[in-house]
Amino acid sequence: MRTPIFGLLLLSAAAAHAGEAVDKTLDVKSNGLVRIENVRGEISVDGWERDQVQVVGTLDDRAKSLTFETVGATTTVRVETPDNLNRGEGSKLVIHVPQASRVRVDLVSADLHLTNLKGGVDAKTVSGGIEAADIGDRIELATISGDITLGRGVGPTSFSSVSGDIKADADTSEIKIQTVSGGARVTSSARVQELTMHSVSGDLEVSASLADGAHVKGSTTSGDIRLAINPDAGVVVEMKSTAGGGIRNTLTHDRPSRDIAGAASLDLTLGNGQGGVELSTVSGRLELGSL
Amino acid sequence: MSSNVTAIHTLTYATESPRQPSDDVEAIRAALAGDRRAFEGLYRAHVGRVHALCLRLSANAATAEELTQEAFVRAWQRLATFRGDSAFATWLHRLAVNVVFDHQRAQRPWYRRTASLDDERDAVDALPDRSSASPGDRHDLEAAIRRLPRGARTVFVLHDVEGWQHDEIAARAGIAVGTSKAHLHRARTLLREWLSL
Amino acid sequence: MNDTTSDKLDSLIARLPQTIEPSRDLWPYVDARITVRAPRAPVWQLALAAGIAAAFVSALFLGVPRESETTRTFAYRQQLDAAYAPLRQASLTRYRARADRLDPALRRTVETNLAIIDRALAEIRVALERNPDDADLGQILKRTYEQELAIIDAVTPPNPSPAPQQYRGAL
Repeated sequence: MRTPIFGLLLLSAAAAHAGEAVDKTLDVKSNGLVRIENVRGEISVDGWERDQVQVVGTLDDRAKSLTFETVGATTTVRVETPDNLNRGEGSKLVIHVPQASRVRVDLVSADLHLTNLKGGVDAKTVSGGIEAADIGDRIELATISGDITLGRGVGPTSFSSVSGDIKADADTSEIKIQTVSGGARVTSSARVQELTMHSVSGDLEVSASLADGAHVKGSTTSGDIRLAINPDAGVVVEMKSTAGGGIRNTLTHDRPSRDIAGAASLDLTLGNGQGGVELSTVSGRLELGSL
Repeated sequence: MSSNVTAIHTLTYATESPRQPSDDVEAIRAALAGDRRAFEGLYRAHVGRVHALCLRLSANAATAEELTQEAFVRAWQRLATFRGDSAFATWLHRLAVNVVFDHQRAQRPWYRRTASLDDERDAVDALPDRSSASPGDRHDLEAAIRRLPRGARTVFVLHDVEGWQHDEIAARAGIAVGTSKAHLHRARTLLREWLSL
Repeated sequence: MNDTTSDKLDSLIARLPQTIEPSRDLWPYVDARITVRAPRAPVWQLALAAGIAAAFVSALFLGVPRESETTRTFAYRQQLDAAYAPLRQASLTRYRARADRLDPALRRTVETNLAIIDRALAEIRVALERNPDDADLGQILKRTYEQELAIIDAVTPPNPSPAPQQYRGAL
């Protein structure tokens, strides 16, 4: 009883008046790709049971056009605005998508809310924050200056920020964190197999149980790293702080050693030593503790 | 009537005003762009406050100087995280408290990592020389604060001197609100006793 | 408790000075710590100002070469620096051309973080001079270069498409 998958709704400049209310629905594939692009303002993308994409809300004051089309398995929502946008109200849109869709969002200065998306999310915003809950499959969340908050994220997750802070409660075995000056505080309720975290000057804090044979690698230039793991983890731990930072270990009795140049290091083996934890910093502090 | 108002205005403008938040904004912008001289201006404007806080919390002049330096270094590194939603002084102040707490945590041996402001075992310093100052003189108060056990001193300084609320102190120090109140009560009791109030 | 004694203590507290200057000027120590040795103007600023040739940029990256230094790590670092120099220059040129069209707050964030990265790079290079064999430092250096490129690319993407379909970023 489905209408043909191909559907096109293209509102031309004449039809899409800036600031105009939108309420459009298209029938789409249940597990296709939904792309949302070039919007500024406030966007919510929520998964639902229907095989439809619905766009509801008001368009950007300066919108030239709204493209809302589905071709094959790909649905696109794109707002065209002029360059050099410093004034006016952005769009406020609530976009419902089939919850098994894979969602790709490329925004500029928009705050993004994502909920109930189980097919995977790849979201990038430049100056806006991302708040996500109950999302899964592969997750990639990237901002420049906004904060990232994730609750109940399932599946391999990658966070990237420049100055925004990252706060996440994940349920995943694979985590990647990358920031320049933003901080990160991440926990995982699932055992972690792969954890990579890098920052320039932000502080990174991760609490998670490690699976057997887990690989953890973290580095900063001046930021601190705090890693809290299960005391029964089976990993070889190597921590190194080159210039001035310190190392603190509250997981075992091992103490760090310092060499003549002032570099501090701490190597120890936990359990069967099958996995590895490598933490290094130039001048930050490293801390290893227990969950 | 209007001439009275004019006179009042003149009087107000004539007095020296304390540093305004807007004075900091320009310096912060410049410092963010890498201007160390601008940051030096911020340092000079705020070092007295920061040092006073570090000194009273740590009760040690040498440590206080190290902590003060550390606070400004950290402020430089994290300047980009200052959002302007509070006064710079407030942001800097909180940052300095964090520096002090981090330092205290780092000093603690590993087996006491869960204890925070546990002052039962902290030694109480010997009473400094009683100068000829009269009882209750504020110099004596400064010295008496230094003498307080660490937990009591921390809560007293943050609550009574810096104006923090118990729930903020509790959250930052990782203790219960009741514990914070108990520390404060102990501090004030000791201070009144030592200062013969 | 006795109200009067509370008042006395409180009035003493109220008279405590708000500021206590340290016994010596701490600024030189702060200054030294926030300035890594041999400060250079941030590379991105230099590039913006002068559109400098790749050769000059490479020279900045190489740091102080040691004559008999032939360790694998140092050679790797040289290759790394040489590989990144033209990429950085291209990105910076692109950024320079479009920076004034960025939203001012975003531009401030970007430039602040580029400055943070510049300081980090200087810090890493100092550490590398002391520990030229340190593979971890080499990795940190590489990642830091990558992050620098990533920031610039995020706000001023390469190959902007003339058609409106693609993400532009510089709004």
